[in-house]
Amino acid sequence: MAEPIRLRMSAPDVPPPAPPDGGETGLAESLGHWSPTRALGRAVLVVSVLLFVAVLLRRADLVVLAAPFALGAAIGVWRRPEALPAVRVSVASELLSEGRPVQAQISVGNTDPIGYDLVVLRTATSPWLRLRHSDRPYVTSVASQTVADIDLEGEALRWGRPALGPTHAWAVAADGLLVSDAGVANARRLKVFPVTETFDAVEAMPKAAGLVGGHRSRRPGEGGELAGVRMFAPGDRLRRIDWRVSLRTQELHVAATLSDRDAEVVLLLDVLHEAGRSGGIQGARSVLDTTVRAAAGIAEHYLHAGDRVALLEYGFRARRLRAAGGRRQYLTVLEWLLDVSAQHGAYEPSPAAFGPHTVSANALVVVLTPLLDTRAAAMVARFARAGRFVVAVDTLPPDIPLPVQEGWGTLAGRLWKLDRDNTIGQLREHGVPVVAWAGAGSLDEVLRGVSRMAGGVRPGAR
Amino acid sequence: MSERSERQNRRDDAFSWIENLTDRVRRAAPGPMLVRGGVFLAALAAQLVAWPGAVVLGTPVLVLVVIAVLPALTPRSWLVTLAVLAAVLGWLASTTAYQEPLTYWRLILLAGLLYLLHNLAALAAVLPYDAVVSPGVLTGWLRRYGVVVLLTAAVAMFTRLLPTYLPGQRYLVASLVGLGLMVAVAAYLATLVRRR
Repeated sequence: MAEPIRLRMSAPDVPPPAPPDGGETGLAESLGHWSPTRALGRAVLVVSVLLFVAVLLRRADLVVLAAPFALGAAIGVWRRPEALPAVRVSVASELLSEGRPVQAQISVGNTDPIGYDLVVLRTATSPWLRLRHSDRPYVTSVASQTVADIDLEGEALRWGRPALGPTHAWAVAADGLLVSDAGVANARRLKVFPVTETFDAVEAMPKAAGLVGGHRSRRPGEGGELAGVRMFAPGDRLRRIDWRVSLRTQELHVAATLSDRDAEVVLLLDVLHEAGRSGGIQGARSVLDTTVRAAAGIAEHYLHAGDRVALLEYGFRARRLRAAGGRRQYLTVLEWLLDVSAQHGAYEPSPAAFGPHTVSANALVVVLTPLLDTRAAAMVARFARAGRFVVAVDTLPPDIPLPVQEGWGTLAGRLWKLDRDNTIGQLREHGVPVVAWAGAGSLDEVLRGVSRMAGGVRPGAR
Repeated sequence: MSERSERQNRRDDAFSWIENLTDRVRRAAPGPMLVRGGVFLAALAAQLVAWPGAVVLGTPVLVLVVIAVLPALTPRSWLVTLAVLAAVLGWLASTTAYQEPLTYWRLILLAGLLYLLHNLAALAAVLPYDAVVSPGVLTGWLRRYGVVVLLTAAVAMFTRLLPTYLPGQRYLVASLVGLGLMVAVAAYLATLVRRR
């Protein structure tokens, strides 16, 4: 028999459970936590039948046949533990990222002076935690006043808050004649952060909101990016004078620079639908996988560049993370993304919660959407009509299979695809670039277009 | 509901049952299977020891094999009791109808095998079929079994030697005391069962 788990026995560090009535436990009270099994009933029946026949036929050999049943049951029940098993689930680290190893430990303690014959442990585990043998019950013996530790090792497969537990433990005593009520350990929630998609955008932000930041703007001003050389004018700083050009031309010239600006990026996550089957970090991606990993990548990029990033969930919970910058905001974004989940509903999320007025006029709005729902397309169009700089990132997996069925299934699938293509075309007519997510450089082309548009007059701008 | 859909439902149920069975077989772990194998061997050995040679060496032995298989397949059912009582019946048949000699070692062997059958069936009943079992569980279980069998051997020796040392009147009293003790144990256990 293989031994896939490592067991360690040590002194218990869990307090003994209090008696139910808070006083001395008698036979009835102690059996309140323990139940006889069918084996005890069988032992009683066999002993009774054998003794009856022994008396009836005056056969001492039948008493010998009954003796082990009676002795085994009597010894087992006489020396029975009373305390329930105490269980605890612990993990080496609750902060993980996708694909990283998980180290957990289940401890089952016996505070009773009499040992358990065995303890059956069942642990419920999230499908996104691949722990060795976690889908099977464990059976181990626990001696008196000791703790048995069971190490579970594996890896976290997908972002989110996967649960480890709850764990139930049933103790068996008296050679299988008594079984205890379950000792329960509550579930532990891990934090598995998404692996950040590599993302890089070289294009300038369409509109800046502040006078400091990491982006060169399209406006002249104080900054580090050289815009050209021009004649000196009142108000120019003396340190800006380009002495070489001034000597050559015999007139004062200054080096003109473009101002440095920061910007606000709003990531709008469409969580109305989940589509595709997630296979974890090493498998296929669902819509939410792409949405969360892409959001983490885009947020990391812009926060690293010094911009402010806000997040908004387009669904019925209307979760929102206000704009901020820096490393702390990046960690907050990752934590915020852990709770992203699909929110189905028949109604349209309130336009008051997702209207253009909720977003700064200068912000770049990146909508991560699978475009499976006309409600989401309408929301994007509203932002565009209001003059916001909107980029739609298509998060629908390209390899998602269309239905192939007899009858009208195939045709319906093709019609649905045509309808979706039509929606994308309409969004483009509204001036919303739609681009499929492809990691680094995904948004360069569309950001270039948005920046060009930002230089012109926006009819709906407020 | 039409006859065709009923047939379809029955077929679906059958497929579901087969799928469930194959899944259980695929997930079965070595530890619990080892214990169930022990239940089968103990039940078979008990039947072979208990029943007379004429039955064991003839065609009826196939019935004994079936009786031995059933507790291994369903250790939580009444079939374990049936296997124990079948062996007791065979023992009575051997020593009465077939006039086979009642030897001390055969009696001890049968008592040990019957208790092993009961004990391993109790273990198999609490072990999930797909459980990962620590080896210490099995060794501890068998150690306790060995203690009980040793005590049984002592009881058997006591019942065998007692008549030679006690006169008839005292032997009767001692037998009644022993019997009363056993009845008291059975009654105590019965009260525990009633508290279920």
